[in-house]
Amino acid sequence: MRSSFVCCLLISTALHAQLARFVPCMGDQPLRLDTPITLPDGTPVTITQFRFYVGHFAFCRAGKVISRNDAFHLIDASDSSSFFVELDATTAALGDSISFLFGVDSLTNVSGAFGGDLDPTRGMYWAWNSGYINLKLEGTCPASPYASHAFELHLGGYLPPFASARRIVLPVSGSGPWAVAVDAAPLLEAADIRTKCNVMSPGEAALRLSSTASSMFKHFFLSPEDDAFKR
Amino acid sequence: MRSSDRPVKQARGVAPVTLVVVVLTIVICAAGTMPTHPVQLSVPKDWPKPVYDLTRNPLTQEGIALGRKLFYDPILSKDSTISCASCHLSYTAFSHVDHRLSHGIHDSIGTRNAPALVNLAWNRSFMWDGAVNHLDMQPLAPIGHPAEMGETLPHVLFKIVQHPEYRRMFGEAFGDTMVLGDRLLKALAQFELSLVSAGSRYDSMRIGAETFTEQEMNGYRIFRAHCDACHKEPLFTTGGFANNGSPPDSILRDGGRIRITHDPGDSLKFKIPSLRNIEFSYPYMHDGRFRRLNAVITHYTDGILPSATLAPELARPIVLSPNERTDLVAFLLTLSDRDFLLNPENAAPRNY
Repeated sequence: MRSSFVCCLLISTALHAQLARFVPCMGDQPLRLDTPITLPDGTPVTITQFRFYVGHFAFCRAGKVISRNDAFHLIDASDSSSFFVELDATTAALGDSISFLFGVDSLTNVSGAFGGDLDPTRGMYWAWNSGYINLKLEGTCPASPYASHAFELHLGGYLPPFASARRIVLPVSGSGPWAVAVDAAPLLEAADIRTKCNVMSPGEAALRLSSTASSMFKHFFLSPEDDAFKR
Repeated sequence: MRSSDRPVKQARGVAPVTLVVVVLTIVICAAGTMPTHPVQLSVPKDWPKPVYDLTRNPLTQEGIALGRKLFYDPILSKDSTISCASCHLSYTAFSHVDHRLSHGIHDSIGTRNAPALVNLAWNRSFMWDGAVNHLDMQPLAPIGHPAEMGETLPHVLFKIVQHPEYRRMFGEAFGDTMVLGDRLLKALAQFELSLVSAGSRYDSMRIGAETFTEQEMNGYRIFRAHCDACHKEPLFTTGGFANNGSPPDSILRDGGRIRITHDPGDSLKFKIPSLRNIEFSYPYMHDGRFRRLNAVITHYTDGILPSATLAPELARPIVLSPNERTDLVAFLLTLSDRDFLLNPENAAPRNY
């Protein structure tokens, strides 16, 4: 009895933790920080920081949630160990789509201090207008009118009418691992970084830019042996 | 297949070892972790349910003690000159007596009057414009503001972790000596939650232990007729925002709540403060423009600036006779809670 229980436990543990990897990208290339690149429209740009929250993962089948994980993860382009999110693969294998929140939900935003990736020491919190910063994208662009040609896009806000977290739904097949490309290019284009585009508070600008999230997240398939899954 | 029988073999051999490890862990934990002493938030009879969710941050003697030490420690500021208590003095209802606007490092002056801290477990939002949505997160604002403490939370933690006394106190409050951001915020919240003021003459009158003088009772009637809609009993605030008709200062140009909501309907609205301990929390209003209660009353009778967002309760002029004004002040003085102001547990820790 006991030996078979332990055996089942070990097998299910092995299956339980399945990895998803978020790959910060610029266009169809993995994003390299502090490296000059050219946007599709010809604008030269150097990205210095790209960080964002994802969380409230759910696997769905025919539109119904079959498993969920309410944790939040801070994906940081400067720290590849942050790219991995552990998901429940036992039910994931039965799903036809994965859904997650880009940004932090309103309930978490009003529930006080959290630890881990939501710890306010992570620099992803607005102290003078309470709420998590869902995304920070910073860099330089020679055409930017700001000092040092530096631009800062900080998206967030949880209160209507400026609630900016977005639910992303992507089709999945098989039991993973999965990779999600997170493309910063649509956001940079929408912001028009050659103009006064800085956003550092909740409001209409953050709301408008947050709606590009649907074109930022793309699912792509990788084999488990792919380099992208080596930590 | 080897992998299928290996777990079985391991299981037989491993189980007793696992047991030993579990037992050892329990013994080590028991030896290394002192139990905390739970504290019940005192909720006065007939008061509403606290807004703060205490299940997420249960009060303990150790947590409150740590929060109190942090509250009085200027280590929270960049040059170790400003503590929370610099602008929130226990003896003056945790307000900054005699100072119109908040003070910070390098003799910086802020843009708003440091409010009295009282009954914070019942507060739905913080700051004059409601910028902060939770007591836990409130300290982040003054810590990070260049004209207040000019620090960052990570650097505060870096400084604090070097003090054995703090490591010990974090250990006592949270079970291990890890000095973490959320723990610091929750400890400060615990101390602030413990600041319950419900021992005024008004409170004694309410429970029938004392009776008001005729003058106080008359003042109470006037209060109920003209002030109670916003300064609602027993907290003496609805917790909402209102434009009380104060003409905006031409230098500060402070729009209040509109900064947060971007809603023109919130222009010139500020948080309705509690009137508890008002005798000690002068100067008054969001920019500390009035030094005396009499001036505040004169504002409400003669100084209202009409505007689209003016509180509807103030649309009709409030007319008070000189006697009525005196009676109203007499009532407001019954909201003083000297036991709260002089409570040694609220003051700076003795061993500090």
